[in-house]
Amino acid sequence: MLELLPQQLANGLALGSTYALVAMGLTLIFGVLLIPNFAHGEFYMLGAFITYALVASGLNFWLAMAAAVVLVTGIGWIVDRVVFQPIGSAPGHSAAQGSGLSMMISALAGSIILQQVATIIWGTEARTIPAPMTGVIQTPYFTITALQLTVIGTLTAAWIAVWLVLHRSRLGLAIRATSQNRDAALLMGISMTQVRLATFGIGAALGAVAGALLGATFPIYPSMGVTPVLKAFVVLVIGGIGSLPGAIAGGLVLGMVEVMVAGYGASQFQDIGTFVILVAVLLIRPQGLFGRAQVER
Amino acid sequence: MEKLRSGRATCLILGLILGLGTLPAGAGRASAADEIVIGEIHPITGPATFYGLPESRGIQLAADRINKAGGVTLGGKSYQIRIATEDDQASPTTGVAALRKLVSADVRFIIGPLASGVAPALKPIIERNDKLTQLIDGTIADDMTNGKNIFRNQATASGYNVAVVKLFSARKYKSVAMMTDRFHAGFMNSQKTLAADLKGLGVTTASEDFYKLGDTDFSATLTNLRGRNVDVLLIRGYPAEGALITKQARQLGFSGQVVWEMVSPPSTVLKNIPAAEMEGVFNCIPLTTEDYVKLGDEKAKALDQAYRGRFNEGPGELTALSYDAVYIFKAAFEKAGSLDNAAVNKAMAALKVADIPELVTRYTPQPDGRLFASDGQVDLRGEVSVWRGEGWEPASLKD
Amino acid sequence: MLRIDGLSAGYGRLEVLHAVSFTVERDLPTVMLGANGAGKTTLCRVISGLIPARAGGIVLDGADITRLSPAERVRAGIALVPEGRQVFPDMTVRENLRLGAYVHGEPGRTGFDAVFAMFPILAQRQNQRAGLLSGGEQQMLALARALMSRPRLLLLDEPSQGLAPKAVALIAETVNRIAATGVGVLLVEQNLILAQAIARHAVVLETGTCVADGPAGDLLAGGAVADSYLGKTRRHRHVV
Ligand SMILES: Nc1ncnc2c1ncn2[C@@H]1O[C@H](COP(=O)(O)OP(=O)(O)OP(=O)(O)O)[C@@H](O)[C@H]1O
Ligand SMILES: [Mg+2]
Repeated sequence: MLELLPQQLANGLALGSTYALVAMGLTLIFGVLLIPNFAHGEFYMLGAFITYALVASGLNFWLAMAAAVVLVTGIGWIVDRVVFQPIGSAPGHSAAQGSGLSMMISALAGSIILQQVATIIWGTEARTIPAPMTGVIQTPYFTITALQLTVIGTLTAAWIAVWLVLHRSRLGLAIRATSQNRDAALLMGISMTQVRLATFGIGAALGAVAGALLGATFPIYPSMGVTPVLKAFVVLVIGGIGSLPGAIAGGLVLGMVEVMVAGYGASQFQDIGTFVILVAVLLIRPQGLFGRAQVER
Repeated sequence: MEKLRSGRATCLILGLILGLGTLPAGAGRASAADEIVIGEIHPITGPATFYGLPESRGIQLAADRINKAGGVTLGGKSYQIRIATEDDQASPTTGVAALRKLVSADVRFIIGPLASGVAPALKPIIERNDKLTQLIDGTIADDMTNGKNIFRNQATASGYNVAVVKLFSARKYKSVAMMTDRFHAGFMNSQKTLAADLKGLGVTTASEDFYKLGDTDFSATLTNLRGRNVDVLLIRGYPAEGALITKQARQLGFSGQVVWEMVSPPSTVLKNIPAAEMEGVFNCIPLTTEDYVKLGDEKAKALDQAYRGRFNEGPGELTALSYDAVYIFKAAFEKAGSLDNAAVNKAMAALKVADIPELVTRYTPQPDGRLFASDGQVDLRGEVSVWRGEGWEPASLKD
Repeated sequence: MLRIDGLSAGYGRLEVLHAVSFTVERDLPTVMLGANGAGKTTLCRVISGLIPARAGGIVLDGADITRLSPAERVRAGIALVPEGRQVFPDMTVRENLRLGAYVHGEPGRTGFDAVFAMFPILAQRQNQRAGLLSGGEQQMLALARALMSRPRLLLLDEPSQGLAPKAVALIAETVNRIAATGVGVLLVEQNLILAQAIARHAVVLETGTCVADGPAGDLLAGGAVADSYLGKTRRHRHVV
């Protein structure tokens, strides 16, 4: 069994990076706008389906993925405008945010509607995007597919790109300020419209990238986003809500744990492993691996 | 004002969600005097469409052929068959609602359902209703029939396993790793017996792993498989996961034989895995409509042609079963000479395979020649097929 | 320079401010007094645009700003040092200051130098996370951050909260210096020492209504303040 450990670690890394990729967009939107965006799973699903449709009509995978990212970004804006903004500005809520519950309910409604639309367009049968690459890389210790490496590479690239936007641009400064203290950010003269557009845009784009890449590995169908988004919420709790490094570390930890449980325990306990680690984190470090405990001064 | 508007939007959304769930699909009218209404419950939409729609169409084809040929003759009077289609979306709750709708429209003969989840939900309702006769043309789970008013003309998982055992004994495989959909009652319940049967052949079951519909990562399990060096990976479940497991097993360097045990239309398979990666995979299920066509069966060829002519595509794996189901009902009506459920039930139980020459599917008759065993189950055995090029074909087991 | 005219506002069904009217002159730093819950913070939030006005108007140097967005108000010259400081805890001191100047683009060296001259401690700590500063230092940062937007009118909501007398004195001195450069000041304060050190004009708010308005000396010395703190209702009166 131990000689399989390197392979299991590689499996865990590959699986974990898929979780992290989905969690990144979710944590960004949650961290900045305090929206529990269940519809993120549908950004992921639409990224996959649009890529699928374009590849099926003959477009190169990477171009299809780029187009899907652009389209899903637009859809993200529409979802924010139609689903979330009306709640945020409805009377009875402070201007700062809609109540968590109504946000959650409308996020679910948005998610269901997007799934239904996809069902009408594409039907419910599972399919897989023809993989843009099929190679398998053999090392003495483990095997990994070129596509898995691409996912890991994309995760790294996405992290760097988002980090650069957040830490090296004025817009990023505004986004970070909003996530730390929305009212204070308003007092600085930061435009919430801009921050929302940017955050939802980046979040949806990340979801679409994840969908396109993972749709070439896993079957795609209209409700494919439901489980990943639940997993991503788990990742958020593990990593620390609103923390990008947390999303990545949380995703990798979750992937590793699941693979180890399935590999050295029993495959049917894979999901139980998820919740054991969730409960453990909540007990030992409730703010998550990368979350900061709230300190009032 | 703002609040009002958002309230209305919420209602609209809710309405939409509810509305989409309850789209009516061919509600049953009250039956006219010289008409026999047969209700069929299948997943026309939802995740199992690729099984359900070709079944529903097979039923329609059979009914049309019977009607054109003069319908069902009872006591010198001929009746036309009318089909009332209900969509269960492969969901138990939708299925129960569909059944209630048919019952309230006084429909007394039911074909279906397909899904292993739906059948057990309908069973207690049908069992207690002496104005219903059900012929299941789907699920392979055990204990779905009673031989009184519930019959099934689809195989059981144990019927599938016959082919697995045949394959293992022909190929002399020494070890097997099983991966089974843990929510598939038929496969789960029959797994112990299968393992025992294989053990009888000297095959070791190196591992049994369980997954569920929608799982996507099997790498941990498959990695362990490589360490165990087994001859065969046996996958028991549905085709999307089957394809994914096969693909991931190959990527992780599994070089043994992959064997499926699942009804898996090539079009569905190919949506999830390139044909080349399927080459040589065995499948152990009863012959499908397409298999009968490939074997040159005249009745199957006629069905295939009629289906293509009407729907512009080939029939599904299970079309023949559903098509047969209508003929089984016709034979039972005529044998009973009445539309009374008790009489039809009795006639159905007594039907002999030879009574129904129109059957496409080749059932093994009971020792006394009857179609159904006393528990209402047909004897339909799995055969081994193999993936060649773009689809399945009957396999020859000699090396 | 700032005229509040029959201003009403609140949260949900609760109206907190009822037709509040008063003015702040550029050369008369003004203190607003009032018991806990009187609506002082609410007023600051309405003036800076975080909460909409339900009735009445806000006029800054002749221009009606009642309907402007918070960002537009910052550009028009209003800066608020909010209650509880509200610095961005996970950002460096320098980034906090950059955000203060957000509406003007990136602050040049001179922008930073001006506030660093006023608050040398911030210069030393400029690369430290703001959340790690002491309470007094955070208050300095909040003040410095507000100044980065080059305001015409500075609103301060209880800047003395939780500060030692020495820090309060430093704030008083700094605000006085700022006021001397022609920036209007509206100070919400319960600390009489700070109020006396800065204000030349005073307004008393009682359960959302302006109950007194007059020169700071008279009001702070007279009984109005004590009464207001005790929560006695009394008719609006001018002490002039
Ligand atoms: N976000 C809010 N939602 C609902 N009611 C609020 C909110 N903020 C303040 N209030 C209510 O408005 C009233 C005025 O509050 P405000 O904070 O303006 O008082 P204040 O004069 O600043 O008090 P303090 O001296 O304690 O700071 C209070 O009754 C308070 O309960
Ligand atoms: Mg206050």
